[in-house]
Amino acid sequence: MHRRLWLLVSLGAAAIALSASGSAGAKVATTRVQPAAAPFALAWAQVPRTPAARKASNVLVFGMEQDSAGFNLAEADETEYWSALTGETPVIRGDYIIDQNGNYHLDLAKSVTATKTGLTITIRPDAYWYWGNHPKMPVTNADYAYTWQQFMDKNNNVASTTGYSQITGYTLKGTKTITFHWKTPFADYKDLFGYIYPSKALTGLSFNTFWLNCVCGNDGQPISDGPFYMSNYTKGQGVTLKANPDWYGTKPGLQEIDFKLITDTNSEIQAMRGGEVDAINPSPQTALAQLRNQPGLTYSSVSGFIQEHWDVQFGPQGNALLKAPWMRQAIAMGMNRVSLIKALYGQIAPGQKPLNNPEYEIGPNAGGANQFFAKWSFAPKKALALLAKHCTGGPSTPTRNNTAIWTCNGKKAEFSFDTTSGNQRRETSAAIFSQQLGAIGIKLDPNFIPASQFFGTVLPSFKFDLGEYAWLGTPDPSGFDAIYQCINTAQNLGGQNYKQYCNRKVDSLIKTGDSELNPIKRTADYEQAAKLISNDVAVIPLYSSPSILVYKSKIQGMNNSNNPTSEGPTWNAELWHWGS
Amino acid sequence: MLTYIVRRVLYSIPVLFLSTFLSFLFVSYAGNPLAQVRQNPRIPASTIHNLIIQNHLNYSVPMRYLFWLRDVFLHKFGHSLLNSEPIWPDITRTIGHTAQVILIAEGLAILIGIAVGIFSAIKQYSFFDYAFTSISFLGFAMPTFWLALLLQILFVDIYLKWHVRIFYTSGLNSGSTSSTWSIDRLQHIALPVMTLSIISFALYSRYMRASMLDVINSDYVRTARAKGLSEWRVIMRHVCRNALIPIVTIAALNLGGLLGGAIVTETVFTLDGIGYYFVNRLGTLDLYAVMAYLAVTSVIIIVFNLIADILYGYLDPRIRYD
Amino acid sequence: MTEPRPAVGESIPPVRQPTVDGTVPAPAGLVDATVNAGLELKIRSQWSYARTRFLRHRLAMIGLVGLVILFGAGAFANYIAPYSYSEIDLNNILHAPTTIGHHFFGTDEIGRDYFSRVIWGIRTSEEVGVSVAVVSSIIGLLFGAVSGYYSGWVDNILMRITDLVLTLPFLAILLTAAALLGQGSQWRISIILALLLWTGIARVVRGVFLSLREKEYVEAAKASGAGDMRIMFRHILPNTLGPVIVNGTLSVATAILVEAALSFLGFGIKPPTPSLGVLVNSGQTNPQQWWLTIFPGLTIVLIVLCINFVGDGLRDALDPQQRRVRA
Repeated sequence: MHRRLWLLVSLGAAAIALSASGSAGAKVATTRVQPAAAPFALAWAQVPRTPAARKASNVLVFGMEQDSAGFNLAEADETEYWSALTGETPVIRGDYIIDQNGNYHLDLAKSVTATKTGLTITIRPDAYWYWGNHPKMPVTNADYAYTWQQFMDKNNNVASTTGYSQITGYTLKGTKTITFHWKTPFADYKDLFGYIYPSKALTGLSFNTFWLNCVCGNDGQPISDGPFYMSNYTKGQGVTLKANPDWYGTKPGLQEIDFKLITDTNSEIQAMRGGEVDAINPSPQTALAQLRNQPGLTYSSVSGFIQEHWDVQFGPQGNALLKAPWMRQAIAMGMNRVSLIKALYGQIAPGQKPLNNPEYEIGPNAGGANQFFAKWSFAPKKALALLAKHCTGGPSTPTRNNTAIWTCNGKKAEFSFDTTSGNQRRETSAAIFSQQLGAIGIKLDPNFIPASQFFGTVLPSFKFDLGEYAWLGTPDPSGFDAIYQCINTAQNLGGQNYKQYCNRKVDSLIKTGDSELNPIKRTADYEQAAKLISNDVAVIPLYSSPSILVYKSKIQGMNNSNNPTSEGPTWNAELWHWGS
Repeated sequence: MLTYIVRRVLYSIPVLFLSTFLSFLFVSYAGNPLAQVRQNPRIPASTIHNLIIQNHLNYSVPMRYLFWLRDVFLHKFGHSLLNSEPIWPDITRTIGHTAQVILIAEGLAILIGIAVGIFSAIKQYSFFDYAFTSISFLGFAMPTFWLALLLQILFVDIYLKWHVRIFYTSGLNSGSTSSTWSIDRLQHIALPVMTLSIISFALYSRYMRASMLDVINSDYVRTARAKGLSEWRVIMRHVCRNALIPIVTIAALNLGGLLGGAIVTETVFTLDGIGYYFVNRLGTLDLYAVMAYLAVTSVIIIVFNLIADILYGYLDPRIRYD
Repeated sequence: MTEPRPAVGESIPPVRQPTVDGTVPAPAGLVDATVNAGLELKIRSQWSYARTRFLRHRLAMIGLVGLVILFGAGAFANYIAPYSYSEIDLNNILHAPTTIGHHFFGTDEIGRDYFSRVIWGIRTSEEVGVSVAVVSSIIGLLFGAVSGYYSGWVDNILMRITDLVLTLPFLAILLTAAALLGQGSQWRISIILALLLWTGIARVVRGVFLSLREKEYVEAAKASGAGDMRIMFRHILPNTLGPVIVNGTLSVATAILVEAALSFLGFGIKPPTPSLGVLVNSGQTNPQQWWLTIFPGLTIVLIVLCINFVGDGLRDALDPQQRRVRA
């Protein structure tokens, strides 16, 4: 018995020792390219612990909410926000960079000209690739050609070929100029070539597997043509960026930026309060309110591009009543979007307004007279009047806890409302709108479905009446084309038009706009389309998720960094520096 | 004994295959894993086609299971569904972290539970006994996630009010150093360890007490006392040893159960452990990653059940398997 | 989580041999003495002894009273809750507990009365707990009976099935069920939990059957021509009722805890049905508002505590070989 107990104890000790050795440091797979720099843990040991010390050595610590799935942003599953923020915007540049107001500025390109026959790009003469201890290489038109070829290679899991597929070929001129030829002009050319690969450094690597754990060349050394290079990345821990000496823009004010992975928003908030991190870009949560009036912290919130909306089903799979325009209008006017925004974001993004333009989200194109959806703002009495004209059996005034449901043409005004489960904001949305629509005699049956099913089965099969989810938009409205075009699978149109909306006029406006190179005419086309979509109540836009940036007031250069586009706050990271 | 072990192991193999096959079926029918990519409105058809081919989604589910089996043995569980990251490094990293938390929690729970159980049994009906019985009942009744949340809120409050960091409330390390046994790491895993051990402690102390009481009144103990041995010797030499036998088997079984508890603790404290990994991958239906977790945990549970049965037979000469 | 093996000494409770009608005979001399003295001798059944023991058990009584209050509140939620569980009041969000407007437990992030939500949550929990306990007891009983009585390869196969069920993952199954069957009501969760939680009872029942099938009275019954079914259900089964009742009671608690954990993770009951686990989840996103976390959690603890007390009392009452005095 004595011996047996000791045997057990030693087994237990062995088990603990084994597990300890197993967890000591992450093991990067040796089949992938490894960064030549030290692992994050060791690099972290050198990061000064106190803000004062960090200031002295010119280091900034930024909280990172999500781990990266890979830094090849053009690959299908590696398009995450945090990968872009850390591994693309400050490291790999492109033709234009988008500022915090959605305006495009020339970046890597000295000039970009679009004509009816082609797109001519001239690279700036002082653009170089920093590649570890290799001598610096100029960015050439061969890199542009290589990038286009990668997008068009059918074996590559590309996230999107929109625009690139319209290009038929290219002509090189010298080493810095390239002309891509197309038959029909692609109006959104500014969004093309925003991400250029280093052709020489990537020889021998496969598109689907390079840059899983680094942004580096084929020998594992970091590569960059932006203000910073990625000196290392460790899964589960974070990213380290170091200043790139060969960059053409303003010399970076910081020597190093460390992105520390903190997945829990509450912990991020504490880390910010306690000084453990210097800046955070958190996803919106009510708890952020405690950071708003903290001394020593600057809090910034702006409207973003994640468009939360309701899809209304026009097809036969949905409730037939939704085909009637007055029903859709009544639903829209029965929803108090301002109250929802107040409940969700009142404390952390005051001044957030409902979205009123289905094509543009921020800036002058979305506001003022272009708020076409504003005519359907909350007006329950008008909604009731509309319903009373066509239906029977409902309440005469908006009443709380009303149970009388309208019957119209023999059908009850009862709609299924599908959205993703596990999302507090959507649960709130369902609860609030169920109550508001119930007050005017329309019943909502909420269904909370796991995201994989919602996007994988429910939406593509069109089996829903009303559905709430979000689109990630861009400053350019062409990103929404697939959502509003009449469905035409042969021509690959309307691929995400889950509501089966079809308005031929809107279709032709979108089509014209997509090849209209005159920006004024193009905006007019899209605004006209937005007006028609709003009049038809094809969607009910709710709000765009706010983008929030909180940083220590001592940091200078961050006042324009809250960039809600996919560039993220690092778009002007070279301007950041510690003030006195 | 040996034949028993061999037989049990042989029986476990078809159970393992059947279990993984059923789990594979469940996850495959839970939805379309390509749903993730469909959230991007511009994804070209060629990419979808490539992903379908690379992940064998054009085959029937049983065929896909066979592909997965092949990948388990030849490619170390294969790669993630959408972005071709290898799974095995993730599994080894996360299971190391989980093992650290679970083993420390189990060790603490056993030590304290046994001590309290012994003392409660010796001093039956004393105030100590009643107090710890109540605490044990409370431990049984406490949901793991609630205890974890309470501890988290408590230590956040302490930090925000008095600006002193006793224990960290999330993550595995805060960046100053991150080696496995540093003070920083221990500060980070203190709360999850506390959560799991408070809940397990109740189990051990109750069973130890019951076991002790059974033994303390038995004949051979009375003989030992009659022989003139000091009470201390009687307790330590005769009572404890025999009372510990069931504890050992419970410990082996409980370790399997703690893996389930780890899912909840790791989610609340956002630890980079295998439970958290599983929940995240399940959300995106990353089939191979989920299957890797299920295969690994099934093996662990079956192995520990087997160890429990073997230990019970090995340590208690009265039990005979044939 | 598996059922721990019984400790040494706490083996399958052997019973005194019951007579045909289930009563326990009194010692012989006592009968004569009583009759001679002109008194009546009341023959008490096993169950009445158990009832007396149970009623004397202090903790069990406390637990019972607590359960009656809590489950009663849940059952009559319609009448007790001051508000509906989905009534939104956007002017009153995240209010601390107060007597104004009967918001005894405060309000949540969209102004719903928390007291009402907790009461309705209790109702959901009791529905899930009781239904899971009943169904899993029945399944476990059948499995254990067949497995223990027939022994041999039948036993082997059924025990391997038990092992299989132990390794199946709750979360994945719930996710698939959500996919294939749509919306997740508490009844569907109950069925799934019952199908996964019967293994503990099965093991215990199997143990009883294994030990009792060799007893003489079973042989006697077989000799007198009783079929398998009759032997199993008439002779052996009543002896399992004790452990089954105890295990069944305790499995109500297990079911409630498991359902709360699943709802907390987001895999269980879907809104708008309130579940105590979902309520604690809202506490996680608003850590400053302590009432959101404390009240539902405390309710779960109280319910489970009361059930454990009652279970302990039942175990002591139904174990005639009681050597330990009640705690």
